[in-house]
Amino acid sequence: MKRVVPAVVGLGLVVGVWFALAAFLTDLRVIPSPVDVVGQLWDDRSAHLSNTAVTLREAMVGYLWGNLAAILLAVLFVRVPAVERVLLRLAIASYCVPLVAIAPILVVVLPGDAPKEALAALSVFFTTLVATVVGLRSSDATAVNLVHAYGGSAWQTLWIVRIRAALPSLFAGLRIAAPAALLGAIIGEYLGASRGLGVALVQAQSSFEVDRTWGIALVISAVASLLYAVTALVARLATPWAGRLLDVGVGDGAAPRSSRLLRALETTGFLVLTVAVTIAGWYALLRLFDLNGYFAKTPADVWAYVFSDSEAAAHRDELFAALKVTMVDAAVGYLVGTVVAVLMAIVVVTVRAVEQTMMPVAIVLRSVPLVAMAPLIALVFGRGLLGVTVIVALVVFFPTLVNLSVGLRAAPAPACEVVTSMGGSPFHAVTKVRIQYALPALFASARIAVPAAIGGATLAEWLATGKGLGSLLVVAYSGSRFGTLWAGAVLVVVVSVALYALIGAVERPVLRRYSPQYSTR
Amino acid sequence: MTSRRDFLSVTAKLLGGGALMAVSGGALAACGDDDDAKSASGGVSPVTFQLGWLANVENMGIYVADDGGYYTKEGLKTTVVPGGPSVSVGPLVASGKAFVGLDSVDTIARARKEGAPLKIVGATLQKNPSAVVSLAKSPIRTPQDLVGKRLGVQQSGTEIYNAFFKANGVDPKSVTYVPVQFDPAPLVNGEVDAFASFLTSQPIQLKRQGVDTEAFLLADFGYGLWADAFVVSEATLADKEQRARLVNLMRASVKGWQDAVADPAKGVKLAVEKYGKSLQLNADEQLLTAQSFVPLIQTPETKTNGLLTMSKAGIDANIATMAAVGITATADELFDTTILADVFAGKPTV
Repeated sequence: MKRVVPAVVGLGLVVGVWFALAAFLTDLRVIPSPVDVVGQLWDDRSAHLSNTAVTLREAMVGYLWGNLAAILLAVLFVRVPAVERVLLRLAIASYCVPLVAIAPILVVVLPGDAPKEALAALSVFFTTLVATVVGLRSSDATAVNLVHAYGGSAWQTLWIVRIRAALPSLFAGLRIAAPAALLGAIIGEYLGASRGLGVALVQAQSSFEVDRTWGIALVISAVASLLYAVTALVARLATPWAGRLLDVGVGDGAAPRSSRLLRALETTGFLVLTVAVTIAGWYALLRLFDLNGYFAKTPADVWAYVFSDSEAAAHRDELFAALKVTMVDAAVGYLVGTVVAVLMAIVVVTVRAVEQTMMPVAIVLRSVPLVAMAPLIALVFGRGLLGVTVIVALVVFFPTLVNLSVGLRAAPAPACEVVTSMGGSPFHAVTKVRIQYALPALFASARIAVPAAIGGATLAEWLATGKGLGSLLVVAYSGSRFGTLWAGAVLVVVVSVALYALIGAVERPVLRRYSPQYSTR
Repeated sequence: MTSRRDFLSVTAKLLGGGALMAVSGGALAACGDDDDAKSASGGVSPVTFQLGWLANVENMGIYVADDGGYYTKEGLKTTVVPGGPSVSVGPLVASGKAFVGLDSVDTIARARKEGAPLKIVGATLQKNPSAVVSLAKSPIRTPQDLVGKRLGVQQSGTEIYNAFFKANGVDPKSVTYVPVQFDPAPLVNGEVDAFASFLTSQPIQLKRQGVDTEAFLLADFGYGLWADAFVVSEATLADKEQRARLVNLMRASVKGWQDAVADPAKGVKLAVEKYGKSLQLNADEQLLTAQSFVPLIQTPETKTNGLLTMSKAGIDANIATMAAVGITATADELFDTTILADVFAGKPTV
């Protein structure tokens, strides 16, 4: 009961705002009255039920396979860091590659509903991978050393210390993944389907059935929130120790440091290896499935498009002009989304009631399909930088908030109690103790949120502004200009991977300075 | 290793064919080039018919043919697969995953420029349904009326509209394009003055929602592209057996369209109750839509040549319209009229 009341207050607030806006903006017919929407929802209930069953099944299949693959790969990464250094960039690619570039391949290669399941799996794979790796690594260096000192093997360390420490972070990842899988399946239905919530949404939107559109959006939100809540409940039951342990470490001062030159050489070597693996895998896939060259371009095709064919210079100009727009869109949205999420996370951790009020609101915001809300966002915030920023910030906000509030909580309770017992407020506990523990989470969020911001920017450019890479790729797709499409997709991936590496480069010295208790490798 | 694979396949079965199973299944499907029509020897050949949009009344002729058993009578077991906003008809047809698909003529012409082995063998909509829709209280009736106005247009359509304006003596720069999707909300809420849409959809749906509109067809201002064109791969045309199968499929499709045009209510019933059931289509609105499609499908030309026809004059108009957008295509490489010639054998109906 104690948790239900604030949640009801939070959602009540949303409904109140909705009523007000609907009454205020009746003439524009963009915001229907909640009463009409609920009435329509009731009339459509049997169709919603069967469409939900279809989409939920696709989402769950993708959720299961995507997470399973992510967890297994994360364990491999932690056990054999060399594998991580080769494959991690590929994993990032799976997360940020624009949907329009891979959609034709998915539908040609996979049968039946599998393309939708694959998109659901792709929507969760990388976030869970990062959450699991961060979790496995966040184990206390002292504890790891202790197991080693008693003669424990590396595998024993993994089981005894790392997995226990990893579970809270893993569950944070799985929570983010639950609504993401649903949205992935819905986007998958855009590729062509006869049933499902995505199909119903497109039909309702194109027929200007506003009440029904909102009804479907509500159903999607409700299902996504439910998935989130169930995962959160499982997390609470499965990891009762989260944030309750006294495991302040003394730092991993003895970590071997190789020379700068050696490290640079090593990094270059792994980069070359990654590129080689990517290109080989790319060719192998095209060969294996015998895909037609008109829509499945090879690395050589992309190279020729950008560097060597007769119009390469014009192609480069077009791509880089679009990239510049997208970078600005992504950067502004990322900053705004992150700042809001950090502030919110601090409030949420300090004042329990706020969390129970605001989290449901945040989840609802995260799980509303942006495609359905695009006309509204464009109308309210315009089709300029502000509109784009709102869309990107929405995409960035949620994973950052979830990861950070888990991170802030990961601070051992006794350490926080020291602060409060000395007369410090819960707010001081945040600034003095928790922030330290949240730094790895902030970086983990950035790793997810930066590629997500680029994805969000391309989405906003498609939906609202008609400029930048997002627009270029969609126009190329609908015009069968697959050369442009692939070159643009590769550009998005390369930029995302580079930014990801940059986050890592900033993270190492920062963590060493401020959160030495975390073993980084 | 074996036990693990067993575990995976059991898991996959429990899930009703998950991702792993799907990948291996996909590999098989893609390796057999034309497995769509392979089991031909003997009984019925399975073929996939890929639609370009959701399963609404726009495709009623296909539903009538499928539901009425016209395909079965021709020895085909047809699976009708609906499309959506991100459908990729060209790749599906070029890879052999779909035997035939519906797409727009200019998209196929562009795909051919990229090397796609695709050809058009029939045209459902003889008159393009693309229209500029405006609110009745501030109507826009000609391309010239759009000067100084804001036009909501899908980003994929801007090139077409540039060419359309130029052909009608309007400077494209004098019209402000606003990127929209398939949701006409920006027109209703006043963000745009006009909305690029189909005569057969938004005006009817908006009227049902109490919004009166005005619209003009691009086709009435020299825009000569057919829509919902039947697309097949060159491999299908080159193979004797497959080509025969295609003739059969086209014959059944023409027959379905003949019935649907004669009695749109029948097609509406199938769209609402069977093929588009989960879309919650409104029967009255779908009937109005179906009726608005009829004059686009049945023209003086189809009365003499038969439905789906691709006349010499029509092909020339298509090529001229595309040339204005910078898409070069020749009649012989883009269109194959021999299939319909075999279907009709000189008569105007089947």
